[in-house]
Amino acid sequence: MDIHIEPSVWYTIPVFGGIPVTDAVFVTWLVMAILIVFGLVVRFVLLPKFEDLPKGFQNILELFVEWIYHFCEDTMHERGRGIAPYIGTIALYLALANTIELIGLRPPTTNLGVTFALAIMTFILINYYGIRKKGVLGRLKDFTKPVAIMAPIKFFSELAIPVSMASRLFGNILGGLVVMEIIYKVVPVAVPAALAIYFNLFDGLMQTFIFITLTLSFIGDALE
Amino acid sequence: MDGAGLAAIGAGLAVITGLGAGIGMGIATSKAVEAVGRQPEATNQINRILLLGLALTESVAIYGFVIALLILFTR
Repeated sequence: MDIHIEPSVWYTIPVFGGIPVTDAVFVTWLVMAILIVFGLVVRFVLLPKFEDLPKGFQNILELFVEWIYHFCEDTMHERGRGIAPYIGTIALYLALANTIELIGLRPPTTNLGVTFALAIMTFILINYYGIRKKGVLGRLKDFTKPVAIMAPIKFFSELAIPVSMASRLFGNILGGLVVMEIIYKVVPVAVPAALAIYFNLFDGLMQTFIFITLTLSFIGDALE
Repeated sequence: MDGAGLAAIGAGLAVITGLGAGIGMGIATSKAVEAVGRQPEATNQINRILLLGLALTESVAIYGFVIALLILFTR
């Protein structure tokens, strides 16, 4: 069985002794191209034709945008509208990146570097919102909130937040990839199409929902 | 290639974390079904909370899986 778990290097930039460029970068470029072309087409071709009473494709777009705003305001109460574009972007990128195995490419989120980068962005946002609202000392005093003795435990659990988010996304998508590869080797004909609906589509969308829910929850916690 | 046998045993031991996750998720689902039986109008809310809780609990089993992969493939 030649299932390779580690990312495969496609190209090496010949600078500073060779920087390896993995397949995750190229698939991310493809996802970016799809999203940018979609955005440009909607903005310049479809938007002038929008009417006040939406129907058809405009209905779906408005449903998605309203759902993102509603979801952010539910979880973060007052700053929800400010962070909704970032959450929408992350949701679109993750929804496309996790399910791109249906086309046959290896999802970029099976690379621990990609998921760790997204988790570090969440970590930076948590601290940015916390420090902007309460100042650095106020944020540090948050660690002694219920009982002062729990401060080291709370500090380490704050550091564990990006690690756990990265590992959760990486492990789920890689688990789906490994199981689907084994099924392709065993029964190549009709069974993978049925099982891919659960392992690639449902699992990928579920993981994006979990990621954005956790991001909003942690930012909302830091603002209390 | 020394240590390949011990790495395999270590990877097998690391995946035992799935036991706790499975028991926890079973208990959570049973409580959710009980709550739906008690108040069927709240099915949508309970469904959402149950899915969120299951996905977070499953991540404990996923940590074990990630550690097993690290043990097997980066020696």
